[in-house]
Amino acid sequence: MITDLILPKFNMDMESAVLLHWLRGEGDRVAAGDPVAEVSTDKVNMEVEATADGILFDLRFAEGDTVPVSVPIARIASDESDIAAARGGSPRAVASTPVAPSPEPTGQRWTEAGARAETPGDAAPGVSVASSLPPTSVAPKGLAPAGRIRATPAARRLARELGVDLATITSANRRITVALVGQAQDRVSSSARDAAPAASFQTQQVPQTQQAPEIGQAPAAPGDVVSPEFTSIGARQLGAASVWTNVRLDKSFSALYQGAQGALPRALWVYLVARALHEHPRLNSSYGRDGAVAQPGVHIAVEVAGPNGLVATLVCDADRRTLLQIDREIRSATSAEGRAIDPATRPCQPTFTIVDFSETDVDGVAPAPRAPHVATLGIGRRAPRVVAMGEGLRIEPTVQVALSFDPRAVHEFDAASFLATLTRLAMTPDVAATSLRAAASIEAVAHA
Amino acid sequence: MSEMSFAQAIRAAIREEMLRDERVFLLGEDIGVYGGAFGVTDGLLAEFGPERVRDTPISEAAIAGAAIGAALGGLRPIAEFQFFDFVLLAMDQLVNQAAKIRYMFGGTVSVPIVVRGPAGSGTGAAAQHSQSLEALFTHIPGLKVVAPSTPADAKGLLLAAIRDPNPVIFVEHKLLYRTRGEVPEGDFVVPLGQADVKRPGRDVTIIATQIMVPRALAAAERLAGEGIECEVIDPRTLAPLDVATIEASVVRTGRVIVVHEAVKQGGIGAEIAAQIVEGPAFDYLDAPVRRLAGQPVPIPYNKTLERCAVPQEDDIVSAVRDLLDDTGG
Repeated sequence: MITDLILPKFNMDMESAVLLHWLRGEGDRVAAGDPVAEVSTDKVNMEVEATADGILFDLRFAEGDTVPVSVPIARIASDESDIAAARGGSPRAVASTPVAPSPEPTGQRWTEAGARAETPGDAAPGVSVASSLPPTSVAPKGLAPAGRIRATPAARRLARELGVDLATITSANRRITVALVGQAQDRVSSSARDAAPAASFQTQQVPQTQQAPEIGQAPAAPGDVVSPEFTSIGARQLGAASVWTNVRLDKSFSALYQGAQGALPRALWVYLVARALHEHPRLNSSYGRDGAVAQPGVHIAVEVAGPNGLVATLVCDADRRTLLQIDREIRSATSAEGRAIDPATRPCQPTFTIVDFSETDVDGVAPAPRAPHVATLGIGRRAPRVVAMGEGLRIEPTVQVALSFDPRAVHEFDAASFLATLTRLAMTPDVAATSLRAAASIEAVAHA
Repeated sequence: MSEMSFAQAIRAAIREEMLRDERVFLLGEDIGVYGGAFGVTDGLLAEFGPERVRDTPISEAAIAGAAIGAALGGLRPIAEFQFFDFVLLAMDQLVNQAAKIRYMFGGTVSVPIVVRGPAGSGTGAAAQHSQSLEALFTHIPGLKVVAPSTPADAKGLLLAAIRDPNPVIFVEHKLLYRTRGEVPEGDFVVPLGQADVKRPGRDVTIIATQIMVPRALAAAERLAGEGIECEVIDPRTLAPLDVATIEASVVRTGRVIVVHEAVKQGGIGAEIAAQIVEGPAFDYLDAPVRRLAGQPVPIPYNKTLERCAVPQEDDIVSAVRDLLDDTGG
């Protein structure tokens, strides 16, 4: 015979308890009354005692798990043959104590109605039991192989977008939701800012390229103090190189330029550039005492020629932000008076700059790299242009983007490769879906 | 705009269309002299005469069959079933004949009938006079199923239903008859197959039908006080279902509760949940789609048990709170 060992409701208001320790283990012989587990409720720690003599098995929760009341935490078999039978057969073939709802999302449950009616001090008559929806976030033990992560579809998307590894999120046996991913991301980005460079990003010396001698400037050696001539003007004198391309916009991306979304296309460019920089750390380098060094964080400064003059925004950790977060940041900066970023108060040092000319009539711009970082992207206006597609010609909205870079640190091939990545990212359906969702959210907020 | 009750709105739609289109006529039990069991057709016999407002014998199969025959002959009948539960006596006519004739006759004839009647529980009418059977009809190709929740929707949808060349099942919840609301003047038609966002929100999507719409809205008001903003969507037409509106909402909120009075198993909520999960909105769900619905019991006569058998406003409030706890949001 098998007995369920349930977590008792130690007081009227108790809804759950945290399992602190197992005092006995799988396969142990227990006697009725033996303490089997220690749990912690709001008020006090209590012991759960065995309700029968026999062998303890099927421990369903781990230490640290939150267990709802009246749920079996383990089972006791009167002898070993029962255990084998229980394992092989249906878990319902038990002579157990009356059990209130177990956390399984099945259909109609008459036991719920009975159990609720028995509990004294329950809601007044007339309150329907039609709402009994047990939480599904706690996993029924043994349902899935160990190692499979339970996470909602939305949580998985967000984790993918942010580069958060679901395996690093502790969820106390609950399904991982968007909120938990968000918290994990906040922890990661705040620790990244405080601590040394993140593990995923190698801080590395960016070696001089062979271009240097041709430009007629002595290559900077490790340990050299950066020449004060390395300002924007200095870079121009050195002959900052640039590569450019016309990016054909995916329909959804192009649609963002219309309507009241305003800064959204700009935010999407920041989002895409951040991800491209993640794949091309060399272009995320800045000159320091030791020469150009690839930076661990991606911090993007955005310069916009707005109606009130030049407006600069700084998006820190842009590769760890969602599109909506970036958009919000840019909007709040743009709505303020146009002003440059104050080096004294900014929360991070920019590693890359985007100069956004999309609201002008300029087809393209190859800006000078903003010191001390090695690369800057210029974005021109969106315009319909003739594009060769297959055998024929089409008119498609395109945007000319130009990457200017310091040729001492970045080879043209690196720059071209970066632009290729950026173009590829701009055309992926995932990006389109992300931007559509962001646009819908913004609209919803605007109409709320 | 004028203010009127749900029942008055239905009567207004019938009356206006009977004035506009002489092919429209009514048939049903006690609809003429008595004015309808719930007073919906009151006054219409006096205005339009016994040829166009026909009291029938107590035979639902005959009511449905006669309506179908009249429709095949070129008329536009509106057949009333005194309690919607009684359509079960007309199932062969409605499912085997009305739903399939146009298909089986290669489109050469159509069956433009409207089948309407009071459904649902809450009036102490007990098991055989309180059911919510609309899901059965959504399962039949060839039938459209409409279930309004407000007087404006009732009027607009009924006009659309009468003008539709297909058989349309038009379900009226008894408890809604006395509810009042603003109805636009003039020839105001609400297209079939279009859902309505009754209340916008960003935290959870509640999809509610019929009497659950006002309950969901009341629950939403209470929850707004706790900082939870619920979006309440009324599908209005159950077949064909406006999935696009529902999906757009789910993508925004990531959390869904479907609430209807009909029994949970095999109810319209199951269909809605499946469509959400099958489509693009799946990737935006932050919790399983939950359904609040009727218990698997015949509707009890006892008043307390009758309330317990179907979702109430408190149940919707609890379910939303639980769902937000579940998602840690």
